Amino acid sequence: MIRRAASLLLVLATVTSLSACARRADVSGWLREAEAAHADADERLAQKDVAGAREALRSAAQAPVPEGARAADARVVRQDLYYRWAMLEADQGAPEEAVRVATEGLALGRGNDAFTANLEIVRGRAQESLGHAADASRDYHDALLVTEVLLDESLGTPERKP
Amino acid sequence: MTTPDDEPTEEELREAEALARALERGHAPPGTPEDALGAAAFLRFTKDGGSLSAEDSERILEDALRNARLPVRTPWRFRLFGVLGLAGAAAAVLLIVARQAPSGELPVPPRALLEAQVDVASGKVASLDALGAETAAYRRAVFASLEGRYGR
Repeated sequence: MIRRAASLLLVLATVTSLSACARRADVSGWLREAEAAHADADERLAQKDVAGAREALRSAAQAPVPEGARAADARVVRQDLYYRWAMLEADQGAPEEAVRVATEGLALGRGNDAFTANLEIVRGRAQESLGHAADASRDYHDALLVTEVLLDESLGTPERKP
Repeated sequence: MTTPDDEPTEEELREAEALARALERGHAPPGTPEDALGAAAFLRFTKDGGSLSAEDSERILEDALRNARLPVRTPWRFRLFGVLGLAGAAAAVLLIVARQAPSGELPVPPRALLEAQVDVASGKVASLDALGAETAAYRRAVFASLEGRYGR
């Protein structure tokens, strides 16, 4: 009986290990696609292909996240894509769309990180251009709260070169 | 070779005895001549058709039961060691899986990025260019960290 249970355990360990490796490979591929979307958007914007840049950022931001990715990691990667997409809309004179995109990005969650702060800043800027002073002020304030935490951490920690 | 009138040799006596035993008990000691065994088997078959008698069946059964090994009962200590060993192996599997799960913090954002954020959010700077450039630099660091964490 013990020998049978040991065999079962070995099979279980092998399957689990292979499954974990496969999940990590999925996340790695998803990260590469997200990074490539930024590069693609840069290239298309340099060629004045705004629609192409928007589509690259949109599809990457809304792409399903693989199962093996930590929620916090997935959130920052997607929020960064939403930030760039919202920036693009604001730069194209579409503040309402910029607000909508930034709000969609913030709906993924909030963290004390630069990506959440960026989304609040770009939405505040869009609200400002729409004449929504109170909303803009609230977004800027929220961004400053996050930045304050990050600055405290940064001052307490030796800065790491990117 | 002897004629029927001669006295039987010692070898012939031994063979006759072995044949008699084979006829009587159904088995013969080693060294019994093949032709003698063949003759014994033939005689036995003509007598009872090769079937076992009730006594023989009983005797064979008793013999088999006497010689059968009782199932070996594993001592409780060995069982305990087995269970503990399996529990240890299960813990090792869980540890391996837990170690494979990605963990860790994002790189600390550079101060230049944080200052660019403060400048825009406080209305000190109107342009978002510096914020975009600093975010791009930090983005590279974040992707490098994440790809290291999840493996390329």
